[in-house]
Amino acid sequence: MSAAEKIEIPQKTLPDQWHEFSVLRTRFRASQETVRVSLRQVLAALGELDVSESLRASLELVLAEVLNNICEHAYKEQDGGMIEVAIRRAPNELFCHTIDEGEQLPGDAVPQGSQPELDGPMTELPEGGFGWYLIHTLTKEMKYARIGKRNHFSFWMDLEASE
Amino acid sequence: MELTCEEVQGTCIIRARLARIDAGIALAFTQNMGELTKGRAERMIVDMSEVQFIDSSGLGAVVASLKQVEKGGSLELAGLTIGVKKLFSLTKMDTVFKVHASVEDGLASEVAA
Repeated sequence: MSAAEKIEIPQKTLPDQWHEFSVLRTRFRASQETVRVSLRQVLAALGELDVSESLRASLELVLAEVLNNICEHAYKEQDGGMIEVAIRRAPNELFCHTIDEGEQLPGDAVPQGSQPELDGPMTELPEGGFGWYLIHTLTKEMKYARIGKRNHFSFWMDLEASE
Repeated sequence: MELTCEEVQGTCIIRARLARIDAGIALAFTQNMGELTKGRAERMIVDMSEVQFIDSSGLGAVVASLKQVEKGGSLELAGLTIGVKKLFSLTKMDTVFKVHASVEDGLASEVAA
């Protein structure tokens, strides 16, 4: 998707105002274990919907990256911070919203997600830097806002065109 | 962590008997793989068919495992499940690793080569 196409996507109304139903809403204290548990809950909740295995895999990956980022960067690997995840389904898309009370994203914006280079010698292969690249690649739209002391991050995924 | 090595037709088959390689286990995975591959200047194939999920940290651990293989050794992957296959394709790591549909395919491909 080109940058121009991204800009043309119309601004969404508030999620609470759409005609959709809630898939899941969960709130937990940040840790690697609670992230695992919440991902399991999300997959279980999705299991009741008619969602392709491919989209399920994509959502698990994107949400894992978003939640790991919150644990590692917003909360600087200190367990116990609040994380809230809400997932809603509209006719053609999934909407996911996360809230945390950790550090603001650098530059008050969604980080760039360029693909790590694999061209160099094997000893130089990247062992990190894939997180935001994956989030950018697998979602169709993202929004970030710092409201008070909270980070609000939202992303949308197409129900059909799951890569 | 359940990582075992079994010699099959002169190749070390490493069975990854774990459902997830994620941020919580990435470091331990790299260390365990290091212990398992240490001193092995031979062909190794990791059977990934039980691994249902890998995140970016887990991917980093698999890459780190490849980088710590000793000279003369090789590390290949087999049996990627749907989500893992997608991760390797998106990150183009499927061009870095030799990936086989199954361990059997991997063993057969050596014969062909």
